[in-house]
Amino acid sequence: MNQQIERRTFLKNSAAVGAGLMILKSGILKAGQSPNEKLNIAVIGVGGRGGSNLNDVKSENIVALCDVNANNLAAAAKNFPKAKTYEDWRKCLEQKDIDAVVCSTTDHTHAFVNIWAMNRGKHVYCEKPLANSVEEAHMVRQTYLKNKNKIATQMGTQIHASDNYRRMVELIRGGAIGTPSEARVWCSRMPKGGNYLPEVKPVPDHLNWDLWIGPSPFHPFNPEYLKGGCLGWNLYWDFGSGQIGDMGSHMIDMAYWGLDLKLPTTCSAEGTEVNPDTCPQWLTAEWDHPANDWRPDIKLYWYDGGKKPGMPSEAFDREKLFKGVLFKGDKGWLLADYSLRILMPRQNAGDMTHYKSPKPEDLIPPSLGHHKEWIVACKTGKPTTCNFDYSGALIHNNLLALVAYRVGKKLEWDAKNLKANNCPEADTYIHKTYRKGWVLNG
Amino acid sequence: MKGKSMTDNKITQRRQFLKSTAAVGIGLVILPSGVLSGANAPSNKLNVALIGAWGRGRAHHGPISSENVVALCDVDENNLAKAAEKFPKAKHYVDWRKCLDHKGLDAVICCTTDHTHAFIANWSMNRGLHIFCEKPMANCVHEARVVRDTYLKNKNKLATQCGTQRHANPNFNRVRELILDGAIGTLTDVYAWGNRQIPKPGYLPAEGEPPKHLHYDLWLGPSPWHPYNPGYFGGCLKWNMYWDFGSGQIGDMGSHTMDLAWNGMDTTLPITAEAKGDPFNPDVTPVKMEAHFDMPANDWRGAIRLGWYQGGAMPRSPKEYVDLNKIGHGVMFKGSKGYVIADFGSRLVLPFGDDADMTYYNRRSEDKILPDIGHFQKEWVDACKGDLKTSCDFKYSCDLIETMLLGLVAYRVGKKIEYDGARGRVTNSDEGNELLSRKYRPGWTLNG
Repeated sequence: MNQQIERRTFLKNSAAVGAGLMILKSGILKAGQSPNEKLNIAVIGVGGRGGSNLNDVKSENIVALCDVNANNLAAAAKNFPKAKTYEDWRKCLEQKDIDAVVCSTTDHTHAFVNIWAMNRGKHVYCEKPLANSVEEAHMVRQTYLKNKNKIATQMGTQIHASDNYRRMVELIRGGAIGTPSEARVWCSRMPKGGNYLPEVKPVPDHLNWDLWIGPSPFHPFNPEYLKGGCLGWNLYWDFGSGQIGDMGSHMIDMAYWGLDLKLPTTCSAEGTEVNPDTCPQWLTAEWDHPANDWRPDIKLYWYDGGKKPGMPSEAFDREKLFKGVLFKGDKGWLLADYSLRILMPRQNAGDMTHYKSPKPEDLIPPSLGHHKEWIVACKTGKPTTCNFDYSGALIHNNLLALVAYRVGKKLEWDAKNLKANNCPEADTYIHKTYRKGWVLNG
Repeated sequence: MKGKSMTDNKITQRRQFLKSTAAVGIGLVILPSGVLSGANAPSNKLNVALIGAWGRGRAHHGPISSENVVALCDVDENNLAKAAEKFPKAKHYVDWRKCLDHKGLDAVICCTTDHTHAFIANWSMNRGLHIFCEKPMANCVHEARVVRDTYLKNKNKLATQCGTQRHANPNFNRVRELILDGAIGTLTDVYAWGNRQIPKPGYLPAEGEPPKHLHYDLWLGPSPWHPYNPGYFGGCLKWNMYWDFGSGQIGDMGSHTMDLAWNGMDTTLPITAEAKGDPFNPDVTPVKMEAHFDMPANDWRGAIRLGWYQGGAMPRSPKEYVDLNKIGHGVMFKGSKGYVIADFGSRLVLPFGDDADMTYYNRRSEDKILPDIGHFQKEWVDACKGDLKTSCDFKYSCDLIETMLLGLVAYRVGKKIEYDGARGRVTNSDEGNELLSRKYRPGWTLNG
């Protein structure tokens, strides 16, 4: 512990020099560090997305690697021979010299790793979604808010770093569609539904299945869960949240940034018949978001499993628009996707006098890169774009749709107290129950 | 003006009277009560001849009923009878040349077949008459040039309007503003297209006799003789595909759609034209065709490329998500920073690429917004009585249709032609020069 504290103190002290330079502009900085100083990073989950994230932070000291799959672990360890290896992330987090954690585990362990890491003063980069229940999302966000002056966090919605997102936000904020009133977001991925898989023996030697299950209720091993990346497991309630958790994190992020959304006041949703094992094969949801200081209240909509909103122009090819977001304002629409922005002024109201196009100095600065942004934030206290305040609210919003879907009611939502005032039965789905021995806020 | 006569003098006198009373009227109209007697007093009404009284002519029955329709002209006497129910006091003519001699005329509305438009436009202007002419203005390059010349000689006296009434849709102004204000950076290319396909094998064989009420010889007018066939009748789509009667979709929807493009380009005549399409048919214009033009620079932009696509030919969409085929008649402006895609009523702005950040867009202030045109026909009626200014006068409209018709010349020549717009000469093809004009039947004079 002493060593760790010393190291962190060092980082902060050396940071003070850098901070002097940057505090002038942003005003919220806490510390800075010589760019040459490296973070000690633990990478938890090193296969799949984890391997990719590992590659994106390899400029730093990789001091710990953790995976429930010994093959993944061995492969990663080859490139980082100095890193200690773990199969249980709880053990990994005990390693004393860790400054920061990159979490790329299964969705149902994200909130645990996040909260445990933050409770231990670690910076965290976590794959989306941050949590597997509304309560988890809430707790991740609260834990971050308690520690926000000490740690840097970033959710792995890496497309947020693109210039296209920035240009989209500038159009909305500049008033290109006038006063915004709604955003409709969709992704056409089709979750396959079905039930938990029957047991297949044996569990391969290289896999600690019990740790893979982690805090979730136990389900016997079946290799199909691990095929096709996250799509093998994220449709099961105990392991993920379907497409609203998966692609919804990326796509609703666009609406969140564009419209500066926080927490909803209502939510309703519908989808295929509720299945106790898996997320719906299609889902549509809508939320009310309260007004803020620059716009009135907003209606937010989500569509997946092949459902899509209507388009204001026939020229917008719905077939080819696999995913996207359609913003609506009193002066027009903006259609956007990862690399697309199309503005459609309203026929007789869109003379564009309402649009304040940006001056060069008003442009949202380009990202350093989604991972780099976080690394610099860890060292200097500069902000990240997808910290756990912002992305915690986003995931809270998204997962609430699944609660509304499961109870089949429009929820009057008290986000602060995690209560649907008109629907006590929603509690069952707001909170998850965990296996014995697993503590969320540990 | 040719053959100044007593009639002309009377017209002039009457016109002077209209102008001075109009001035009084304007003062009255400004009052909050709106339209007052001054503007619409019987003495202040135009005396109008409606040539082509039915079909498209019907579209004018309502708007022109505020004026005195004193003459109706149609080669079909049944049409005259029907139109007379609306305008019982008007005198009837079957030959527009006679109709134009009607005493006391101020203005003409021409809704005849395309192959007579340029004739009626010239004859009317030569007689000091304001004219509203349905599109297209002409049936060959030469006709467009003569009509424009006649107009330019008379522009201080006459109000003209080509019947591209969609021009009054506010969307036309909005698209123009986007281009001029730099929403897509520097303009480089303009594309316009239409998807109509009306294939015809060739001129129709002789079939039966023209009915008694139809003056078929006058219907043919200046064009070469073709035997009667009832299949030519029943709307412009029955005849405007034939070279002698029209220019296919170039002149039909092309007049409207290119208008939307033209309005955002501020261009003069093209320097080159090149086209390809269906195999040449000596009887009918091509269904599928595309024409490309080099347009010279002007004071706010460099040289640009203009493309016209029809009958299945289409420009490429800048993004697969945008299906241009869903826009039946549309235009696309390409600039250094993106695209504006529009149809008659709506428009899309597609900033292209991550650096298309709109910092280059010079938003105009509200007082600089282009004013609404209002009712398109009324704009012309008001111009006849007032400042003579219209949005689609015969300079604008003849430049447009000359370009489009030059595309058909290039199509027939089959190679890229170079064009001297000042002289109206194709400089690298004798055949091209031949095709700029067409032959008329004896007794018909274009600029009479």
